[in-house]
Amino acid sequence: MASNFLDRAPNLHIEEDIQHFIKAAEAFLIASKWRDAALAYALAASMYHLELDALNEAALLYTEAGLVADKFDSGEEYFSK
Amino acid sequence: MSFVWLFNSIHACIHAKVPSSDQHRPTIYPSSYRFTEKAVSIYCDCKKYRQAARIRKWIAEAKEKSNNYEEAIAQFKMTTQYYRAAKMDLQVLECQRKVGYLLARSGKYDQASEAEQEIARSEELRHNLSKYSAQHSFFRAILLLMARDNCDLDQVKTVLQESMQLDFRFETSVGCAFLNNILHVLVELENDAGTVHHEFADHIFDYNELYPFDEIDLELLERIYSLHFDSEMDE
Repeated sequence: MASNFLDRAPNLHIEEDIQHFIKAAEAFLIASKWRDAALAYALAASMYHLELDALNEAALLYTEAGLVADKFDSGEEYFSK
Repeated sequence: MSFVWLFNSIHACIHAKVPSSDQHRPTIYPSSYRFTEKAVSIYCDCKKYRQAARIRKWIAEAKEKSNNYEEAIAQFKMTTQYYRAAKMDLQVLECQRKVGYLLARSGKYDQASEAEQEIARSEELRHNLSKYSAQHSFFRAILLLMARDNCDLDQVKTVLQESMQLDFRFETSVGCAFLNNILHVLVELENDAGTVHHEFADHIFDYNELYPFDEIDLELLERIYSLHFDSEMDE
């Protein structure tokens, strides 16, 4: 258990950041700000993917971002990129 | 009298079943598409093809809802590959049927016929539970062959006989008898025989009483009628 904690120690601050992004996304969802929620989910997903190499979590969050992004009103502007 | 009624009802059915909702929805939004594509690529890297297929299918259904048949067909074909990699035969069959349906809806009768024959031969006849559905795919494939622009009745006859040899259930089915009757009427029409209009309508009416046609079948029959009979009436 202790060794597991020590292995994860360098990444703990990244995991904390990711959890904050997910909380932000959930708050945006409650406020019906779909675009911001999708972006927050996508950021969390990219951090899982690139920083922690946690592919399963990254894919789940990207899927969530995709589903949320599909809720945009048709009149709303798309992402610039 | 029955003839006029039948084709009026066919016309009404076709136009009633055009999906009216989501017609103005542009397509799946670019951002959503980008995120889900990333998820699919990650799942493929992990060799989790089942999850990748589920997301790809969602994309394909969104494309279909926005009436973008070309891209929906491409997405469903990719979904088929993922499900095949995940060894999920039932889902493979479902996606292949969807590809056949969309090809028929988009007017690509040649490709749709080949797809239906492929479904029957390589998927449905191979499995114990799905072999009873092969006759429906053969039926649809031959109707699609008849509805082509350059319909070759000899080729239709050859495919019909091949299908009968492949599946004895199809050979003894009412659908096969109906196709034989329709083919006979069309051959007679080519040989300038009389009273074939009436026979064509009667066969359709009789079959419809037993097994009601779905929207694609009705569209194909209307097309067969307009291809073969309208030119005769013009002359």
